[in-house]
Amino acid sequence: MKFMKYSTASAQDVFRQNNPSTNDRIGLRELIAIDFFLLGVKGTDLTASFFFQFAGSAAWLLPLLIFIFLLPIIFLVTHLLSQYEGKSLLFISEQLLGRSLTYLAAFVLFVLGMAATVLNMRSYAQMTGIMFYGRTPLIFLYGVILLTTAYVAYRGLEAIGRVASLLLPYAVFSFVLLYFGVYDMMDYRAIFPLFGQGWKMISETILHLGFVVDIFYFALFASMLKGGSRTYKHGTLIGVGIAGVGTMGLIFMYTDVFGYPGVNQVLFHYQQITRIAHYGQFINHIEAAFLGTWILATVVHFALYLYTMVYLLHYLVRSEDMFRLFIPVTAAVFFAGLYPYRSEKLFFIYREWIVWILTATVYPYFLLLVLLARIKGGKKRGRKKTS
Amino acid sequence: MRWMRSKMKNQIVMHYESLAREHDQKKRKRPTTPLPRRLSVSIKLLKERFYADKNADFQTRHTVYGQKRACLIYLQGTVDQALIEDAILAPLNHPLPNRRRLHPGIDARLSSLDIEPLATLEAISDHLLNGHPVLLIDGEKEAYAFSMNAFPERAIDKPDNENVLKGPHEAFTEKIEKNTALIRRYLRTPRLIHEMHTLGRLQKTSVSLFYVEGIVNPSLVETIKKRLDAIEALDYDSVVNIEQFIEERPYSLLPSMLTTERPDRVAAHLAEGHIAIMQDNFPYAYIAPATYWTLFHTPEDHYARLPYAWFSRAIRTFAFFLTLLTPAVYIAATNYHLEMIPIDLLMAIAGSREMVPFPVILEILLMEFSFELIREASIRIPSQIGPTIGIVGALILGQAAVQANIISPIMVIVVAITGLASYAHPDLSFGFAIRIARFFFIAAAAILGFLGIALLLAASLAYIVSFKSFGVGYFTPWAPYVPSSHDVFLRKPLPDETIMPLANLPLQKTKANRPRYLALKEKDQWRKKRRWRP
Repeated sequence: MKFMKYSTASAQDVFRQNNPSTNDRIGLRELIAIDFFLLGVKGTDLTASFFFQFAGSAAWLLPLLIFIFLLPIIFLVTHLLSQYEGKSLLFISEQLLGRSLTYLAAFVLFVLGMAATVLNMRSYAQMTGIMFYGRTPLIFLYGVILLTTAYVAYRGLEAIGRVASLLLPYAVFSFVLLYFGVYDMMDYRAIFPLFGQGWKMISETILHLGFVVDIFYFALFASMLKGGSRTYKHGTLIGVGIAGVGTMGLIFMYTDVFGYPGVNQVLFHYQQITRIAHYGQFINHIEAAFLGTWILATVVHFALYLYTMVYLLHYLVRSEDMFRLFIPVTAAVFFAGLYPYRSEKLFFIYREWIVWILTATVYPYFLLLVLLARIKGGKKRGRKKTS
Repeated sequence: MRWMRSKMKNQIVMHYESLAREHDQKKRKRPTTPLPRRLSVSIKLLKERFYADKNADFQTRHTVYGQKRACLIYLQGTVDQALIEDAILAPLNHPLPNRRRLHPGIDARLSSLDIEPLATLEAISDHLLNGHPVLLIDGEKEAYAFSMNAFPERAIDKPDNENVLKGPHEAFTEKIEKNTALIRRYLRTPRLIHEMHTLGRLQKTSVSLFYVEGIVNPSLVETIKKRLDAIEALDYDSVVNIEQFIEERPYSLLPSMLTTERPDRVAAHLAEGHIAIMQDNFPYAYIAPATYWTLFHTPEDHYARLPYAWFSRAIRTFAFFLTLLTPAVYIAATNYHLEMIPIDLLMAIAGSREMVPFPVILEILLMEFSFELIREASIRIPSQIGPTIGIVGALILGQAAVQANIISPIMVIVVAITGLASYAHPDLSFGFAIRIARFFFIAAAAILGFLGIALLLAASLAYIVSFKSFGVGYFTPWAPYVPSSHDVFLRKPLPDETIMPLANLPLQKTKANRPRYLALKEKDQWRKKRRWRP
């Protein structure tokens, strides 16, 4: 496990270690921003269509519902991390499950993560292509977005965190701006009936908790957090909170602007809504400006995905230099993303499968770890025993 | 990729940095020749060393010292002849008070001069090159150098590149002693350290390090010293510009040191835990570590009152984005996102481009290239015909090109705004970086419109936040967040700037008595209520 420690070339240098610019740590601000970009961007892609499918006119309440379901899990994971303060998730898993089972878990996490990365990224490229660049080949768009993402990821996790923390205010600002842009077109009556499709909503939400599994993938980097599990808890709660409010606002806007049954006929809600946003007589059709902020958010989002994948692969193949694995991972994502395109429906089916599998594997895995930590005992219990 | 990344570093110096640490200091010492006792032999050796048969500058003046023969050697032009006559030769010709043999260092006739004994021929030749006359005495073990050089020099002048409307108007000169005096005048503390290193084999260049002991982090000084040691170990013939020898990433667009010609700016940075590096014969100081903010600020920001400084910084921030993005956004909007432009304006643009045969990208490259050409030419153009360039630029490139239907009038506006904005940036190096980066943005916009711009922006943002200057992040104290006085885009009132920039890890953390400052805020409700909290 020694090779997994994030060590720098001149770790001896005290200056380097104490220096916030060079100690490769993620602080609270960065974590909040990262969590926002992991989840908030999902309100702008096809996830919203799933929400409308589950909950009908109550789709805008789903982020709230998900947040409520996530709360106990976040607390449990934080508890797990606090028992092994300063250790990464895989280390904890090795302690509790043993090396071979952890290897298997990492493999499953890697494969599912790769599938999700490929599918989502391809869908983003498709969105860009269909909505803005009708004549540009999809492969080119996909490749360019992937390359930029890979570069951002290659600069390291702390660079992703810093970029995210710099962009967070602008992303939030663009949400607010969008709200004012469509303010006069909104019909609030569209959100009724308030609870949409009723009880079905809750069961579907639990089945599809895999949509927000990203924040638990981030527990892999718990050892890089500046304040340990405390930062993880606060950062995740605040970040997910902001993202949840943002997503709620977006879906609320979609419902009200397109009207309830009408919203089901719309594909790419966010891109459509930016088209009709206008400010006075003179400024209208500024979807290109929204495209800019959206692409920046997308790059941060997928950079984190890629970084996580590289990190997992690094664990799986036990390579010396983690950053060399960016080339195979990027290449794999690129070639896997060229899967034949038939219809958008196919994407929905694939996505739903992956979300189901993620829900069925990741959450039990975490719950198992929490349970084992409870039985075997972490740091605190160990201390009690010896005394 | 990692291999490429390491290749892009200043490899040789980085490598030797580790080597120099292990290197035996004694081994690196130059071979030394002890001074011969006989005067004629020493003079012969020195003459050989300086090729005196060919070299007209090498001067010897024979005289006596008491009963002994003596000789004064100097290089013509580097010394003041009249001073030598009056201060050295005339007193030596006076008879000694008694026949006791006297050491020139304590000789009453010469004791008012700054005299240094030299035991080796190498030391003598160094002093001669530095413009010190050297007195050789027959039978003595040591020669004596008088520090009284008279190299031609320039008077202290107004700064050329960093003008301010309100503030000191002094700039560095080529003479290091004068520059040191200037810095000391702004920072009168015994803790200001001036360390000298001599680098270069053929041309000896003295490189000075300035820092304030007790404020600067010692490991920061150590880092720079190690690099200087590495350069010394490599025995370069000459160190033309120290910046390029000690910076980490020579291929990067971003400068890792702040270049300034203002002593007040150097003093202000030294007091905040930075290090200044100066070089002989070079009227600029390099300040390390530099962040984006130090390059973005001007000294006037702190001399001007708060609202004026905010206004000026806001304009500069705006100018930064204008320089970087105006042409790119124009291309993206006209090529890919036509619906963004209001219909009337779109008609006007289309109308003005009706007769232009070229695509927008070619047009803009043509104009940008011409503008850069004017800028480059105007630096080198003789001052007598300087005004011509304005006529050429304005008339030919502006009006005539439009009338000849080579470019559209709106393009002139775009390029003019870009050009004007690029002059608003205070730092020369960073200005270059933006101007070069602009072309990448133009290319990205031409290929993919706003998508390209956003992607390039994301990539460059990732680069810039992970770029480090001497181990300090380029975007500190913003990303990563470090406690500071918030002197970034805007600044606080001067009395509220009580925290040092902690990204440099200075030993002294505050600029004022912080507990007392905080207690003041607690007591003073009026202040507390109305204080602006960033």
